[in-house]
Amino acid sequence: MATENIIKIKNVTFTYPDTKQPAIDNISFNIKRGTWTAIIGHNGSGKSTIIRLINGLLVPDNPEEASIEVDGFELNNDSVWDIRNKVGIVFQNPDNQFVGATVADDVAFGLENRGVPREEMLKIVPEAINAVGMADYTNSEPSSLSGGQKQRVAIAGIIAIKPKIIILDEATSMLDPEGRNKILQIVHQMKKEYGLTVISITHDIDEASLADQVIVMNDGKLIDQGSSSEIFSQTTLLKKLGLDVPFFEQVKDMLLERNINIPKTVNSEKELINFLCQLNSNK
Amino acid sequence: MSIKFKQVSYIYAPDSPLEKKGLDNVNFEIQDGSFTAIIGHTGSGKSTLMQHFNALLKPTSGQIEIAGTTITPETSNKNLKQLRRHVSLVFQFPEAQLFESTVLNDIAFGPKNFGYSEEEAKKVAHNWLKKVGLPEDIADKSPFELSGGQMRRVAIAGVLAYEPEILCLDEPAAGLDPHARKQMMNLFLEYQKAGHTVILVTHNMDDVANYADDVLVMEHGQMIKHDKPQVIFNDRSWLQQHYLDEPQASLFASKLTGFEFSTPPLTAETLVQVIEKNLKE
Repeated sequence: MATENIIKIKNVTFTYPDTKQPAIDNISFNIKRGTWTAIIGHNGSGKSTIIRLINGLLVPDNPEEASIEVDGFELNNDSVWDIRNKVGIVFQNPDNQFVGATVADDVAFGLENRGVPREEMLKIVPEAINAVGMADYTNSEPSSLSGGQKQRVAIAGIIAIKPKIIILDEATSMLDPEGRNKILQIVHQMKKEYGLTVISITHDIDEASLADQVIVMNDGKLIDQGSSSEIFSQTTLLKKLGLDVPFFEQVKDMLLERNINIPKTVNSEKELINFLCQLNSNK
Repeated sequence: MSIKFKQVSYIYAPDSPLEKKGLDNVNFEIQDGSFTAIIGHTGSGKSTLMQHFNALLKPTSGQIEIAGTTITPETSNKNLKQLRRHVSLVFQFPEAQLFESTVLNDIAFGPKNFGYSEEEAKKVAHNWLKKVGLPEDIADKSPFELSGGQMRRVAIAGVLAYEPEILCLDEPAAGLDPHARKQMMNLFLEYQKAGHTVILVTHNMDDVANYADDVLVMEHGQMIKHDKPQVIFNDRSWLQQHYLDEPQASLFASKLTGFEFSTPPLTAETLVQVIEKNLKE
């Protein structure tokens, strides 16, 4: 089943009941196996709707023309349960995704649901909790944990199911900077260790720039798709869409406005700093 | 009237095995009409401090003077209504506290609670609905049909509607998209400019640099520094010693070798001005 593109979306349109404007307007894109994709766009641009379409929580308006393929399976009524086993989602609010009375119970919940035998669970659960660095809290009550710790437990619950794809739906937006960095670090490690494909829906520019590919959404349409440096250098577009621009790009734009010539090849903070330092020492 | 904290300490669960110091001999004075940022790590006492501003927590020892009220360990819970009308706390994700059937009723709830007539309350509610940048036609919708960013604005409008003199906010822009975040922060700046005091608990050093004129730094329940943002961010080694971040502009400046900065630039504008000046000299 190891096709190169783990997710293939073709001609998908979706409209919520009682609205005229489609939330997703004829979108097509592919995601390569083992890559990290960031989806950016302002609130209401359709980012989360895409996720719900990928795991079959929502169904496209146009099932005849539209096609959604996950890990080689066409999404339909028969395959939807298999596909949900392949896709783990971490949601925004850490308090909305707990069911267990202890961390271990919570991580075991998904396994119980899938009828995994107890002996196996006794092996998988501690492994998953270890992987996110929460072993000291195995028997703690979820309510006593910090937001960042709760999101780590949510990730452990997903790892336990051994999915192919992990989706972070603004999973770090409610966390403080330390909590956010820890989560991203853990997901990175999981990606490497288990060959996961990562999709992160985010407003955080630092989180988005970690991605191999960035998809830009606006009013249900896919506006652009490319590497993070390709996308984030389009400062005018990003500003027009109400999105953040990396700080060095802002500085670069402001210097250009002041007639300080910066070559087009300068595409990272490091390059900009090197260029400015050279310019200064050669003056 | 300024806000004065005199030797304020707070102990969680005193005389129990879980006893923990929340605030440790905190002293400061915040001037009227300031935009004060409270920064520090998770668990440093920022939220504990904030909850003392309208006596949700009362000091275990020491004294607080705020909005014409003196709060001591002996203060009874009975006569706090006036204090809470003047000092409002907005916690993280206030949209979780919406409950009314319509947006307008939700915004009018606070004013009605503080003695506005039904008619007056509706009037100010309408006014603030517009002021926070919400479309007027959502007034009669259920707040639960709105997007997250809109719900946040409804919740904030409900607090601003009775115009507290002192507005305390805990990460009010967390989780919003960049555009909505900027609008929200500018709304608070306007509120301050209109003659109110704004107190902002935050991890975002760019917000501190862009909006605040006064900064309190908390660590392990103690206030370790109280100064203007320019002064706080001027001392790079002190910041590093306390694991505090710098604004992006000053971080960028610190990586430029051979450039002269008299003080670390706090905003992109000043950064670019100084770079230009260096290059042209």
